[in-house]
Amino acid sequence: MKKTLMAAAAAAVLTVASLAPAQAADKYPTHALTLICSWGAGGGSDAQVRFIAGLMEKDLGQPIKVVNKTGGGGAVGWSALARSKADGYTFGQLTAELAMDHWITPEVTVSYKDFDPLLLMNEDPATVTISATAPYKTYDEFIKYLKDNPGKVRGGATSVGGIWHVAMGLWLQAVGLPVDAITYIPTSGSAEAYKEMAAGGIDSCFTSVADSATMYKTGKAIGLAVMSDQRDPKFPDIPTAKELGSDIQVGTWRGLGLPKGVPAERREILLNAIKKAIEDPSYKKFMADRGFGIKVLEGEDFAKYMEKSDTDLGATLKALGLAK
Amino acid sequence: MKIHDFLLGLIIAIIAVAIFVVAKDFPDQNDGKPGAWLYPCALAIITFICGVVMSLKGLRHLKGEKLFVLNKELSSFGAVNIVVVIALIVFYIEASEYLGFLISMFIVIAVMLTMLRNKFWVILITAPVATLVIYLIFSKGLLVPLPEGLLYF
Amino acid sequence: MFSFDLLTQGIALVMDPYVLLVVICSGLYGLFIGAMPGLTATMAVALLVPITFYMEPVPAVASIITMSAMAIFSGDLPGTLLHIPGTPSSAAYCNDSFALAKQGKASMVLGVDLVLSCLGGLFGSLVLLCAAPALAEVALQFSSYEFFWLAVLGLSCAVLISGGSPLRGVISLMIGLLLTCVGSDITLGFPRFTFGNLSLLEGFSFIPAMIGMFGLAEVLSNVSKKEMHNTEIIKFTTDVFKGIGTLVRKVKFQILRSQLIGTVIGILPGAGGDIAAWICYGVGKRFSKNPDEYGQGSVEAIANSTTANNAAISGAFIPALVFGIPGDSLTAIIIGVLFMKGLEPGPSLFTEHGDFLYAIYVVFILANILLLPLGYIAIRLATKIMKVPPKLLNPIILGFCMVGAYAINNDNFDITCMLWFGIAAYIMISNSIPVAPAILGLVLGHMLENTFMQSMIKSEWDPLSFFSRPISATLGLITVLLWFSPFIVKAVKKARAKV
Repeated sequence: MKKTLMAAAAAAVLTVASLAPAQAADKYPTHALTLICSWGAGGGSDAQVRFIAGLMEKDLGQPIKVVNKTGGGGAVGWSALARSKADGYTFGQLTAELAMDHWITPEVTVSYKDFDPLLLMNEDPATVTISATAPYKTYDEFIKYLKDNPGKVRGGATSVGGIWHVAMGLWLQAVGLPVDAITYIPTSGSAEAYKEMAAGGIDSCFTSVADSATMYKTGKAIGLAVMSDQRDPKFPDIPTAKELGSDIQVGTWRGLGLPKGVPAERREILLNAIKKAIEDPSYKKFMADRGFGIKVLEGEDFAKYMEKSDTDLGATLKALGLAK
Repeated sequence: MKIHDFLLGLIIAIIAVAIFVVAKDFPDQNDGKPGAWLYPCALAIITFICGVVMSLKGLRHLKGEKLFVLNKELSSFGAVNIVVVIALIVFYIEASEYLGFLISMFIVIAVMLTMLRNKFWVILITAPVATLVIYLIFSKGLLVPLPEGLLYF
Repeated sequence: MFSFDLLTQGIALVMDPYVLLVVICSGLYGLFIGAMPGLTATMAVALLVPITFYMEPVPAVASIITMSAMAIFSGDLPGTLLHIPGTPSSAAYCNDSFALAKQGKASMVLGVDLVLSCLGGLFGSLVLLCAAPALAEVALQFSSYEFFWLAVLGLSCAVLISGGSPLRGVISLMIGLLLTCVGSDITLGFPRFTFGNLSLLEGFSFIPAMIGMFGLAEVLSNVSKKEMHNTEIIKFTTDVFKGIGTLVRKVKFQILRSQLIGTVIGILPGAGGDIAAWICYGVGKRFSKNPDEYGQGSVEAIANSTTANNAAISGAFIPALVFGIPGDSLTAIIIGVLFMKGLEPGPSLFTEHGDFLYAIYVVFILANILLLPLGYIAIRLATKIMKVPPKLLNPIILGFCMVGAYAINNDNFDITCMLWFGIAAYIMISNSIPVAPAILGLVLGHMLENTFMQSMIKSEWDPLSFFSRPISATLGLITVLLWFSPFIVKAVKKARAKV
């Protein structure tokens, strides 16, 4: 027992010596950076930031620690990011929920205005997907069925107020239907929604192509339209909603941002590292393999994008009766 | 500490009523159907019934029995120990953001070892070693961001 | 649908030195993670993912599979030795294992855990191998109605596992269920009982609650005793594998039953090893010849539950591989990894990448076989650690508990939760209110409410809809029978006695 303790003490001393802080250099960044992700480890958002962080580390020469601060529909992580030191060593991922959370939950005060946007990286448009066992088979048949049988079709995709629920609301409005034409069945995520669809519990789903891919391939679901300006490369047979007469584009989006007040030169260095990373072929392959859509907007454009998203999503949430 | 059934049942019933009072104001769904209030209210009602039953059962034995019985194995030292442990946890929660993980955890472990009457030299070696081991496993091995505080590790 | 040709290809893919090395390293990593209270297999896998970017598909998926199989077993180690379950799946039989360990039978318990985890996992792997697509189709017939009955069935087991007074068991269950009401409700996203606290919008995290109710309560109990034993509480008197053969033969039908139930529950997306363990515990007690031993230290109880949670792991892969539908966050990560390697879940996986698929089956079998030697090493290591005297060990345990609770969401708030749950559990135990039903309530609470509300919304509030579908009607019938069976049996006996 004594011997073990002595050995442990020796090991402890050596470890403390090796942990001594490195010599500070002049150029930013001089030590590790922190990337706050508001979503859980292993999920789609987390996968994207970890991949990007891995590429950025090479350019910046410092490790980037991805920290998952989940909770409150993302609000916990974003509040932490907004309050963090604006020294350029902490940045974070901003996603579509940022534009929605404060509408739904009054206690959430953080919004896109609290951040200095760096770059939008990804947009996954919503789809109009129906169950393969439904009595209607085409886009127009679906709309007609909805007009004739209000409330009979059951739809799902996420928890109430989630991005795909809002997408459903926006699409209904765009085709001239009332928002309660589809009875919404809340679930805890798209996986559960598709589980329900396969079991015959819901008839339609409005989630992303990436989430729906396997259901399309196994013939359990049919994609009628995708709500973006371009067809999805993996499923070129699915027309865009625009082609079918309703120009709506809505989907979830993800980007990176800083707390306000970071010095311009550090911001520039960070931004360049991000831009370099997204040009990397391995990143493009990663996004394509996972079915994530690439959409890039920088700085001011990203800010305008978030503002529009906030307004549009807010309006739909009000129409759905979810905004307070 | 063992609370007599009569009192315990009463406490449970009162808590159930409090929950019901808060929950009944939760909103309906948009189409008027039962919403957020249904489940907690239903549970509160069941809990209330259980509390009342427990209290009534205890009422029969109330004569001659104490309301509070201290755990037989509990010594006065034991009670102090429990309070110290709780205080240490609260200390860590508050202090870790300022002092950092390494210092706060070291203090927690060292104080608790002292409380349990370990020899001085054992404390001197175990506290830092344990803190470091936990640090290495979680922060370096699993990349969990432990609070940094004063020491910028 | 079983192909020897593909099997040989699969074996060839796995028997590669690099793959085997990855498997063994992931196995050790999984053993370690499972043994730390507060660290979940999901967290560990999420950290593995960036490393798997650089690996070929077979070793990438092999590492994740091996890691989770090992972690489910090693969660039994702290559960038995310290009364702190390492993973939620071990919580069901934690009381029994610990009670037996205090009687000096720790080695035997761990040996039982090891061998039966292996058997459970092998059974699940064989089912995966033979019948994945067919079973996936069946699994997908489970909608909210079916899951509702599953939740009710699971919760019925709570009363069964509560030991002494059913009233106290129900109160404990209510506590667990009420605690799940905290957070956003599913129909409106309305924040219930959050009192403005953002961290509570998603409700209480299960792991800090479990660490508090088992770990902290145990530490508080230990430090409050008049005399802290100066020597170790747990003695390893016998060899780990002694008596295993006899035991297995004695309970072989129960083991088979648990293997079946465990695999079936694992196949259902959303229900995993923890629910499987609880249900098999309850079923075991219900049909046992020695039901009173359950909770006090019943080897039978442990046998039933530990088999089930390992069997459930392979089941979770079935809907994931066939339909890309994840059962839990771990399988969601696997699906993501598969996509990144260009292997999309679905029919193409079965038709075009048969060799890779069979490689996965082989890895499952290999991982479970490897459980025996690697797990044995883990047990021997654990015995060394238990030589540390309690007055030295408890502060260290407290440290691990606190950091473990923090590590889930990187939020100090979870440590506060752990504290409150621990104090509550301590008070409950002092008043003979069992903790197990509360834990079960925490596990099943959301499923119960969500499936009920979803079903009601779908059927426009028609209660008969719960019996409208064949599977849900069957499950409902089984549940009702389970409840009323003691009364029916009594009535039948009375009638027979009269005749």
